[in-house]
Amino acid sequence: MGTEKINGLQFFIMILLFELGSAVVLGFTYEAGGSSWIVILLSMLAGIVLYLLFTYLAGYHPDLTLTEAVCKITGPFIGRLIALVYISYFFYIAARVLGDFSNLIQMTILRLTPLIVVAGVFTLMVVVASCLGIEVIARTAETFFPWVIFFSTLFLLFVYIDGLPDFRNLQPILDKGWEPILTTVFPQGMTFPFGELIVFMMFFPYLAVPDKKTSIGIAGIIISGVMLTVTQVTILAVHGAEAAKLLTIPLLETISLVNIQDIIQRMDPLIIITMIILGFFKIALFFHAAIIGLHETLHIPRSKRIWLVSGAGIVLMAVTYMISHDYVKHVKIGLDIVPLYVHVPLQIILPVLLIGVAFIRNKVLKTSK
Amino acid sequence: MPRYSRRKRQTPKEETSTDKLGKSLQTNIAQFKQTLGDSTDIVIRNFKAGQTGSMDIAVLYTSGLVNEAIVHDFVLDTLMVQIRQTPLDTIEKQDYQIIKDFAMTGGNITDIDTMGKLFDHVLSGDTVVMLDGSIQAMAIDTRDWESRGVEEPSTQSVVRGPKEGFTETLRTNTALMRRRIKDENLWIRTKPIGKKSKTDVAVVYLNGVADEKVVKEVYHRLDKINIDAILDSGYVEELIQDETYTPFPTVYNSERPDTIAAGILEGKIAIIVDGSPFVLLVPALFVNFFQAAEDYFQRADFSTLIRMVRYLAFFLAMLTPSVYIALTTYHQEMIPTSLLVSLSAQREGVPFPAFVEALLMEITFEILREAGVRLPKAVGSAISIVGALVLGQAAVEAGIVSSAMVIVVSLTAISSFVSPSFSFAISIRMLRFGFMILAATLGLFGILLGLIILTLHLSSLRSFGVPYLSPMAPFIVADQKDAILRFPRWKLTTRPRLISQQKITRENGEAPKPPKRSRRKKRKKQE
Repeated sequence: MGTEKINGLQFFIMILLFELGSAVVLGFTYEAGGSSWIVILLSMLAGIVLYLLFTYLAGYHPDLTLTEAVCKITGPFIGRLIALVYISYFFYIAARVLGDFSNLIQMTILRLTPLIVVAGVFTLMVVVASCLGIEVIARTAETFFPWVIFFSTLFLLFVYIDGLPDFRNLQPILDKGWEPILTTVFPQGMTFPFGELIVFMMFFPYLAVPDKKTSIGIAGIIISGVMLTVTQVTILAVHGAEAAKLLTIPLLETISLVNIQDIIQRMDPLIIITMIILGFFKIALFFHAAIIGLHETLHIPRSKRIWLVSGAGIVLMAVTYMISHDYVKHVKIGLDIVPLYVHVPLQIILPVLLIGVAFIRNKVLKTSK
Repeated sequence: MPRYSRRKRQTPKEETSTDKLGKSLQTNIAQFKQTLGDSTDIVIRNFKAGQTGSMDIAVLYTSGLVNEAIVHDFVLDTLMVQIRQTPLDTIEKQDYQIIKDFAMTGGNITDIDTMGKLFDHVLSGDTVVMLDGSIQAMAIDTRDWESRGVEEPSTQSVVRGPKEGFTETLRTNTALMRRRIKDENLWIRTKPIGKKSKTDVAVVYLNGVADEKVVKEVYHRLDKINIDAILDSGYVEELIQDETYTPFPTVYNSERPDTIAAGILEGKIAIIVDGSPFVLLVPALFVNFFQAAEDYFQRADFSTLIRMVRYLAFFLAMLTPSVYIALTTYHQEMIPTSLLVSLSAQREGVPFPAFVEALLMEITFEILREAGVRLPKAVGSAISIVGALVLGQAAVEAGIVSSAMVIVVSLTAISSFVSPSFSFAISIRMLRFGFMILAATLGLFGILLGLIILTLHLSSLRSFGVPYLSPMAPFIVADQKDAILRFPRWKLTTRPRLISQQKITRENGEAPKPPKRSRRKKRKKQE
């Protein structure tokens, strides 16, 4: 696909929007109670380690995407198999995120609209984005980024001006000790959303400044981690740990409390708009990663791309509907099963194995020479 | 550009153009007359010249396209009276050269040897002199026809700034350019386009500043044009733009010489088409359509503020009706209670849903506007009265629309006039209806769907290779000086980076500084 290039700033913005994606909206896990913001900071550190792992793996074949690199490392047969596993993984996560957001939108603003319609509209956006390519997605991210920042700033400003947060809600820190914190960092916090950055391994070759991918990525992780922490602290301080745990969309419940002098009130659209934009980018990036992977593994010519993307879009919609029409079940699977049995093997175990294989291969090649 | 390469150029049969001129003057004239079907505006003056009167000469020109005084004084007078004493027929065969070198006083003389060129020159206003026995003829530039003078442009008017506008004559327009940029690097190249119309199209740019690749691309795309006639620069615009299926213009046009000159100085390329006062400018970016000429003549801070107002108006013109529809139909909980109560009280007697109501009013407004543009000026005032009545009081009183909707439609209408470029305002008008439909079907989510797809589309657009949304996406810090903001003039030291790939830095003065205090003190002491 050759000439498409994304610059450093665009890459950074994409990582930031991706990370904020579902986490800022769905809220991080509140399992650890009043100290759950510590979970985010620790997960962020773990996320940096994971990201270093990904860049190290990408370093073996810097100008290849993950699915191509896998074929080079393990040979064409096993490689293609692993590539297909990753493609289905990206596709599945895209469907999961799409399910999350479609349900949220249905719950908040389109209560009477069928879920499949909402999912279909989202899919339409994603399909258009994927047809136009990664460069256009990156530029769109760049265009929307100031708005996301603007809306988030307004959110914080309004909440704090109104004097909603009560920081006594955060005390005592570490009331339940370290144990619940550590059990939520692994596997849940670490893999979602930070470990999901493995999807960016599909976009590394498009980066115009390839040697800066580590520093840009880490900067993105840290800044998004800090933003997530600030949001989490705010929400906890407003609602208290026990109440926050029960809210479906904590962020939305927070902003709907704002009422400054009866003038600034009903600011829900701020969050809903941000939610849709962030959701769109998260789904689009996962979906596009799957499309790139399919493209390269199955050697589909570029002229037939629109058929591939549209077909994949229809499948995405169907899969989404299948896995998420029951929202409670969907969330339960998302929090309890997916991190441990899907994220961990594909984000941690398999990359480590691949690095091992690549390392040995390099050693053998060198000695044989 | 695969789109262009697929279309094969057809070579039409050209019967007369390659025919050589014959030696016999009478045969040539006969053929000339026959081909033109004895058109009455062609003047053929046939006479005898030289001492003995044995030299047969014909002068051909198109009446109305030439300056008759020049033809009489410098061509006919010279040939018939002043060289009467020259023994032309004695120096055989070199008569042509002698007359050309010693007798003709015209500034611009071209040799012609084919019938095709003969037609070209005569029909575009040159005077052609043909000699019996010569296979060549000379064309003297005597072009001068009735044309509109340089007037104040009817679009893009300014409060402060030059009030000259381009005219329909190519030469006047290039002169207006030359008067503003007296640099040897301002290159003007002309070529005729159009099989029948043979319209002169001039490409104007600053050599060494404009991007070579874009210049080549412009020539390439102009060469590809295969059309009968070009009657306005709109034809050229449509044939050279990057993307046909987009509501947004990717070629800028202006009637103002100062705007075009500023563009050329930035490294853009102007295309002047004979017969059109609208000059094209490429590459054109999204932000260009929000920059008015006056921004650069007024104070920087004021211009920045006005530009922001324009962007606000852009969003208002595009989204006001759709947001109103979305809020009243889907998201009543987002409207503050007191406002909601007053809105619902207004809507109580209205028989239509908000979408139909809005559509009705918007279409009425569009009809009124279109009628206002096409009507003779004398009837124009009637339109405003009818408009005020239909769109205002009467519609509300009749209970067809709510008064809030009248406010929404008026706000939209006024906002759509704010854009300094008419071609851009059209695209907003079109998009507005799309957004209304989306808002009516999916509410706020629909509007966001529209916005995201719109942004994706804008991001994918390019104008002559330059990303349409730059310098916003891709974000270029240096170019922010003149995008949404307008920095003080002494800070505008660089050209847009993606447009002029070479020679980024501009010559520019230093910041004005107040005189130093110490000097003032010294002066006081001296006093």
